[in-house]
Amino acid sequence: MIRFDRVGKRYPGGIEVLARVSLEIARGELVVVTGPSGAGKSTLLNLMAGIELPTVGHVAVNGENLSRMRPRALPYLRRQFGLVFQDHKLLYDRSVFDNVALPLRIVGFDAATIPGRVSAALDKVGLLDRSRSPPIALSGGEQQRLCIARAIVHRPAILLADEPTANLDPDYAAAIADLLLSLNRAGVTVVIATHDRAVSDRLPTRRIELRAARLHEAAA
Amino acid sequence: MKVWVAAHRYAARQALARYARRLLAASFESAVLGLAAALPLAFLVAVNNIADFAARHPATPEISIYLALDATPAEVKDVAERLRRIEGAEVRFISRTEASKLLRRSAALADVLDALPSNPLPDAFTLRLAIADTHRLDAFRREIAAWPRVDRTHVDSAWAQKLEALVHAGRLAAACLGALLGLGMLAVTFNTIRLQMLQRRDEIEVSRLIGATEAFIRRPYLYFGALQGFFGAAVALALVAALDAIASQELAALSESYGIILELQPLPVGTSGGVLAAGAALGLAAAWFCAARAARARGLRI
Repeated sequence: MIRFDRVGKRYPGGIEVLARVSLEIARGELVVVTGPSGAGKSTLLNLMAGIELPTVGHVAVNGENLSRMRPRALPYLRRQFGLVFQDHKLLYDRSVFDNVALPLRIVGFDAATIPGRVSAALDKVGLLDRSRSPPIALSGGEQQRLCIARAIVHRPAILLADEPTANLDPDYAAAIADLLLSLNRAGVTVVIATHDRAVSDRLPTRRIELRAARLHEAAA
Repeated sequence: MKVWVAAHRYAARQALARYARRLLAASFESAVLGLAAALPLAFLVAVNNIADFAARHPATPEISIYLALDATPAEVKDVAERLRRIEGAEVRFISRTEASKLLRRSAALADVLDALPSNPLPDAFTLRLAIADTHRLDAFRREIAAWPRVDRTHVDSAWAQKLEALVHAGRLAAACLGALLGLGMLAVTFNTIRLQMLQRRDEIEVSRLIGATEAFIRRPYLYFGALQGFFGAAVALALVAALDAIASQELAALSESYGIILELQPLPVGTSGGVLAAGAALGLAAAWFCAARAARARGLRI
């Protein structure tokens, strides 16, 4: 489903984040990417979603080389993804409901089906009673859960979660890990970048470690 | 189709919500656009009223028809009958004797006429027609000139041509002014949309990240631009209507003192509709340019 073929990523100034990384993630897999801060976990996820392009090598999703993809086709690829951002990327002038509804509106869901879908997603992350609140009124952990609700509301084929439990207390972190696991069991390919050992230990999964710009498969 | 309609409904709601959220600022922007558009519109109203006044108080153009000096009374009668058969024509016969008498009223010309062995003036007709179009009038003159015993013809339409040229120049000036201020309106709307896009760059970035097409991102701005242009045009029409009402009162008082009735005609409903549509189209175009420019300027692949 996702394939990295000798991918290298170098940022301006010569900082090499990834060096000749090859990786294959099959449909329905649950993969946890670990590594210290700055190891390139977020870059790896950004490359998967076509947010960034590799300096060398190529990334393919469903057999499609992202470097050769026409810009017009990119939004349709992105709709297959659910993205959980480390910095949430919420819209603070909209309500919790409207934040979660945005992916459905982008895809063009019927207005009548949107409330049900949004409520279901908010219920899964425990924010149903906050749907009319503005995101600014939520705690850091709640904002993180809101970001997760937005990522799963359109039932994506692939969920890319960058530090999804970073701001959560242990109970919620465990609940979110369980939610990601249940999504994976429902057929969603899930890739989680985390340095939270409690989360990676909780998930019976394939682990990849990024160290010194290289990728190391770890035993589950 | 359903998806397309849903997307447009969402974009229109977004645009209305944005307009409502910044009602005061948006109203001021619309007022600025309205003021800019009101100037050429008021000018156009004035020109239209001049044209209308001229049409209602015509100094009907005349064709002067001079017969041959040796035309017999029967031939003169024949021409007179042909002229009277023309629908709507007002025919006046000036015999050569009457013409001579008229000329003799001027002392200088009386001496000249006395010095001549015979009356050099021909029998003549003046023909008044309810035709304002000078080209049609000239074609008519040429037709009469070809009649037997007609020596010369002349259209006295200089004033009509001058007025027509004046009205034409006035309309042209209004169009030029409109085009210039239209460019100004484009610039104002472009800038408003640009500022909005800058304020909402986070939203645009997030939308792109989660799969929004450029059309989806652009749409609310297009609706907003169209709304702003529409309201700007509405403000312009309201201003022109207010000016019209004030000027009408003043003009009525003035014209009464001259014993005539003058009334300013407002912009026709069709033209007002056109102004509203043009305002919306201008706003839409400005928003489109701005959104297209923003999409091109996008450096990041997000």
